[in-house]
Amino acid sequence: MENLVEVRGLTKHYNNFTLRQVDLTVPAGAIVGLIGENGAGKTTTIKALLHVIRPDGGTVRLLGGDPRDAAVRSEVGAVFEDSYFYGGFNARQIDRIMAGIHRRWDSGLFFDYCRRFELEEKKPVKDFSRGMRMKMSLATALSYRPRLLVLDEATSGLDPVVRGELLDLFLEFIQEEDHSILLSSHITADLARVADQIAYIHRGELLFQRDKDELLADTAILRCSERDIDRLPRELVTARRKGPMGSAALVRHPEEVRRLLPNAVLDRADIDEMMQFISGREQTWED
Amino acid sequence: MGGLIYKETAGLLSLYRKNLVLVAILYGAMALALKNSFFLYFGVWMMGFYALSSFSLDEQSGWGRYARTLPVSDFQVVAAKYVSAMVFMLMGVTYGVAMGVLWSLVDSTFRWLEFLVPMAVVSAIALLSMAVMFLLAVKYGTEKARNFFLVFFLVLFGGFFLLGETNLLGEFPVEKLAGAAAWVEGNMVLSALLALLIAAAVLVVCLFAAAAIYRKKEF
Repeated sequence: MENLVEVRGLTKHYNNFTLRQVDLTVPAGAIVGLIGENGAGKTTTIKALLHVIRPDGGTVRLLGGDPRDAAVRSEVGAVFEDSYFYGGFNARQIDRIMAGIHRRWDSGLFFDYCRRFELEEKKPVKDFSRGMRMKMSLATALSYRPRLLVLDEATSGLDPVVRGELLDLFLEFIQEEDHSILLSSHITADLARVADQIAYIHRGELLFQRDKDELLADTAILRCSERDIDRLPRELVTARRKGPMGSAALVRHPEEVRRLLPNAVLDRADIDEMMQFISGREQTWED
Repeated sequence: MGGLIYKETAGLLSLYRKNLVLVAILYGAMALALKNSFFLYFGVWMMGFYALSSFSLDEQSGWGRYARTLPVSDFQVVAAKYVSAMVFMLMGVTYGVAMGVLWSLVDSTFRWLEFLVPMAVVSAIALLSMAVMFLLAVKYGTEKARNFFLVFFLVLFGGFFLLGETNLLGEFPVEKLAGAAAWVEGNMVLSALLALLIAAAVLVVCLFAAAAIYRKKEF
């Protein structure tokens, strides 16, 4: 399967943060959800792969080419939480600007999206709600028919109805086999709904990128005593924590764990819980 | 590139449309009432200053980051700013000339050459100021660029004033300056064209320098 995004050994240093050796792929026909806590490196990764910032190391290939190449970027639609056109512009002006920038720009399609999203053509973007602005941004990205959509926190701060509409649109976009989406989000419920794969970035390192269904099926929360957790082979325990109500561990291969500890309680783990375990914000944990 | 130029120009016009109309009415009226062309010349210089706001709009909207994802080069992004500023200045010149036409209709002493030559010189100064100011804005941001220019002119004119008041020049051969002034007076059109040529050359240098700086920026 072709990869529309291939990131190998991506490194970026800042004074107070380092993105370390990130390997990430986005296969054709897939939605990859990029998760991680605030400041974990999601936006840095996205900016580096879109050539908004220059990586200090590693390689980035988009659609088989170099993101510095304008022809490559012409097939990539980017939606950022806080980067777009000046808010005084309306849809008609944005259409005119994009028509003068993008050879593949389709005005008819853009206004179709505006109508579908109920975006008034003459209303300045700054007068729209946050949800409407995101829709406008997405309509812009989709109207030059990109093969790859890169969305940084596109659904954050939106109400469930708008989020649902956008997620439906993502699923619609991905119907084309050669289309892909890389979607970073704090809202793991959205990713659970639409993503095919989950990539988890933590303190500048990509801890894993796995098929979502496989990940959810292969991960569980074990609730038992410390001693029982210690009895498990180390490779089965991803993270553990000790709380006032007892001990718990995030474990791999639940069937194997159940075989080893038949009396222990095993619960399904959702993506939020995995993040909480691994980030260890509230509890102590260890690999 | 056309889209970028439209983006810059339309952004500035949507921000300043009402303000520009008011300034045009005020300056036009003052120029005609006082028979003082300075107001029309100053309008051209001010248009370059207005154009600087396009950097502020970009900073507010996160345009730099978004633009990097579009199929445009960094040079095109910067060049569009320079072109739109020139469009803005050209609007100022056009308005000034239109007011000149009006002036010539109501005042038989109006002399086109005496009106257009200073207009060309002021345009050259405005072009030069804008070129440097934009370079500074790319490097340091809008506010610092604006402040730098205000301080620069304060020091320049303050310096001239002080030199005049304190006779610090002493034995400086002032007659050489007087000779240069006489040459300019004798070759007004040539001087104006020369000023425009120098400004254009500085603008090209500043444009390439600004694009080189912009290319290294991260958003």
